[in-house]
Amino acid sequence: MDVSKNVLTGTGASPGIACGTARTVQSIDQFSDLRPGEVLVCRTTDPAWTPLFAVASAVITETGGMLSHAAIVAREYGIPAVLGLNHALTRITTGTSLVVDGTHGTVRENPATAGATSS
Amino acid sequence: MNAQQPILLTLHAVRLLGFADTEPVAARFRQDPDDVEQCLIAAGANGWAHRTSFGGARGWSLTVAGRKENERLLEEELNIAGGHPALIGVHADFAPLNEQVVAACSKLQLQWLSAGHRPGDGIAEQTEQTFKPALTSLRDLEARLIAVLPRFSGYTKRLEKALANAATEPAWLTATDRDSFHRVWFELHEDLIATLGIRR
Repeated sequence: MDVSKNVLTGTGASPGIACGTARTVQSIDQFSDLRPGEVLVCRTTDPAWTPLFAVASAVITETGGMLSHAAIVAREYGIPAVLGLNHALTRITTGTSLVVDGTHGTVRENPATAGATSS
Repeated sequence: MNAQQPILLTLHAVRLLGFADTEPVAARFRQDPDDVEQCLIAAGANGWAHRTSFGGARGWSLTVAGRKENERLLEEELNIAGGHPALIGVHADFAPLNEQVVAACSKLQLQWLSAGHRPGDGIAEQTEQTFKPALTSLRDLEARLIAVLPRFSGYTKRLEKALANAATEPAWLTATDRDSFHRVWFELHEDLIATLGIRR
């Protein structure tokens, strides 16, 4: 199951809707890969990840939920967050254009760009 | 001070701050900024840290290798201090407090999001019900931590300051652009996890 065929669901932890290109970040060594406006997709976050919230348009994590540090930080930056989305790092590929709904906890491929090839 | 302490404290300060330039890294454990700059340059040469510009700010962050070295040094420090049982006990007592604090911060944020701004309503109630009792409990936890690892000192004082400021400026509870209650709390959580070698 991947985001190109399904609506993925997690916990909507920070409200709002954002569209952006997915960027999977596996570790701190990949922080510089994230471009402004991209959707950060990662396993979990800690204080080192906070600066990325200032750059990302939305955040998706595999762990955490409504009551987590990541949720609090996302709300402070005013960006949608879908947390606790199982296997997000394997179900979402860097370059996919996404619509992230942090109010309802859903992630889907942006229909306006579905099928387009990303560089 | 053992010979490893300057590099331990420098790497750990970067770990706790996440991304910061030399001055705040040095200030975190009251080290000399020139010494810390040299330490960070050496850490960079070892592949443990790098200095970058991110989001318009310049600062140091750890690499994966730097994080591993940080954890190796923390484990060594804890073994020398014989502090593992004490840290395990503190972490167990911290966990329920953490749930309460994170829930209270979330409750306030969701109220603020509905209101579209940060009214003072609800601050006093959450402060009395959650933040002050958590702070009281944390004084005891900090004393137990300092007894084995003195570098844990200072969290309570910073939380007290954040809470005092929040009485007139609610952002001091959860903001990320200052030493807010949640930011300090999050840092302490990271410190406990890192010191015990627990993976999130």
